[in-house]
Amino acid sequence: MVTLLPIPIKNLNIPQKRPDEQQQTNCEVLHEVLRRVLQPLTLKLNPSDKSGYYNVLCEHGNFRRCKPVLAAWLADCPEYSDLHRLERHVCFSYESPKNELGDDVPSDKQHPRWGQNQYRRLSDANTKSADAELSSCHVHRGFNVFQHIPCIMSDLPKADLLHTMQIGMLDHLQKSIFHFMKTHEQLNKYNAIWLSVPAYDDLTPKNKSYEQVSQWNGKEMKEMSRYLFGVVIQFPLGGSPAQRPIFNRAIDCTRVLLEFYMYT
Amino acid sequence: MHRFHTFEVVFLLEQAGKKGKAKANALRTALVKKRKVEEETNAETWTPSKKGCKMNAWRDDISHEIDASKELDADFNFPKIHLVSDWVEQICRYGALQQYSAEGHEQAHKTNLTDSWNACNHNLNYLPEVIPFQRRILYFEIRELNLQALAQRRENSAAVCKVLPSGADLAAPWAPSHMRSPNSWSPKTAVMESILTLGSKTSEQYLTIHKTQRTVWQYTAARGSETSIRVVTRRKYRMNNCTQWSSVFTNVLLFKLRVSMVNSYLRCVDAQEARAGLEGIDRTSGYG
Repeated sequence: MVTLLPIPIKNLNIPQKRPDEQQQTNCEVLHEVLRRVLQPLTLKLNPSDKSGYYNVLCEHGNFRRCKPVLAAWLADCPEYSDLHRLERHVCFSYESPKNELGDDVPSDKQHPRWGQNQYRRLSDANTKSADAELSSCHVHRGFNVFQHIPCIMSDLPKADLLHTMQIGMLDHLQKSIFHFMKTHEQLNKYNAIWLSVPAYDDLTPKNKSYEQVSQWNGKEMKEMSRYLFGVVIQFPLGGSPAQRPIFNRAIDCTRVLLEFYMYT
Repeated sequence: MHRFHTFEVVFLLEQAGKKGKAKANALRTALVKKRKVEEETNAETWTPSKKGCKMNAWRDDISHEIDASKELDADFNFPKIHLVSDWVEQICRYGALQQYSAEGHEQAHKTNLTDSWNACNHNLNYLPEVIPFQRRILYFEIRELNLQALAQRRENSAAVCKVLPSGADLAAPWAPSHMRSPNSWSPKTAVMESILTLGSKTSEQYLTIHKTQRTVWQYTAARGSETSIRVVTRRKYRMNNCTQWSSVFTNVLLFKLRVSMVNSYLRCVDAQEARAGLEGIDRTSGYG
């Protein structure tokens, strides 16, 4: 752990300009701290075969000749945007347009990866045309330490099960199912099935329906993923024959996502 | 994920944002006004049955128009759904993603900050109290893991004494009589003797802990072949009585060590009994 920093209290009465300036300052501080932490990994002016190696004390008391390499890191979506100096709601791996984020793109037709070297050159150029090109790629101008490290940043594994899947996609799926049942006037039956889930093994008994719970955390989401499909598969029992094909599609959608989550 | 993208359309209506919903509501208001105008102009000519048919047709028409309007403005263009699609490639390259989760770090925020803050005296100068609290918790966790690792093998009891010199008498090699003389070994007597030995030690341990800290520690002394300890109530320890606190933890660790040694021994006894049972079976007969 490097540091523990306090979180400032949100004050709604202050003008919008001040939080923006503070956010800009925070971003600068973050990248300066990262520059100092990742100093041994950054590119050298005249690299040789021996450059990048350091003597590291191992647990047996011996010194080992090691070359540290950035392998992976974990963060949520807004933090990734800050780390990569990207705009919000942008893919971190590929140059996908914002209006194509939800499309199913095959791997052979994927958009090009982020060009860190190109962005470094444009950021260093400090001209209007370079700024326009950067903003067209949804990239902010400024120093980014990851552009100075000899590896492909967009290639590193940055999966985060907690934020992306548990309190991201599963939460989204749960909300969608809730509104879906509301639209098809089956909410009472859905709530009755939800509350009838027994306290089997380490599952906690359900005292509240979905809309009565104000906030779900990762542990609750993980638990919910174990019985959600059992609840969803009861949909056609309460619906009319005309609704059954739609309910079956909703069941398939839920099953596919939950299976993917379980396998990952 | 390709199949998910095939079926996700069923939830498209629920993806309509605020703008889409506002637009759909405006459309509903306009259509309802139009329906009322038509109703007023044809009020004299429509019979009640025809009016009912028209109303039903209007209702279906309005809901259809609103659904179509919402679908036009709804999409799945949010980053997390795109990130999940990217995972397929990462799983192919690096294997399962179970280890890539920020759950541990988020949990550490609670243990490192929230618990420490609750345990400190809430002064302005809280850092000298919060940081040693974290360190002390860590030390005890490491010590418990060491003891558990050492207790897995009975010949390491001497090493346990080194880990805890103050509790050497309690952590000394505990060997019942039947272990010292393998010829007189009997599973039933071995289990009974282990449980009786543990029961006598637990009462002493319970008294020690109770007297020191006035904390209630409830445990099941001998329940079949399993022995466990459970904390019923535990008062919040402030930073100024950390010496007593550490003594309680030491006692509990010693007790846990003894329990784990007995359990490992019982497992050993079960295994020996099973092996003896298997050896007694004549495998050559009974297959004819």
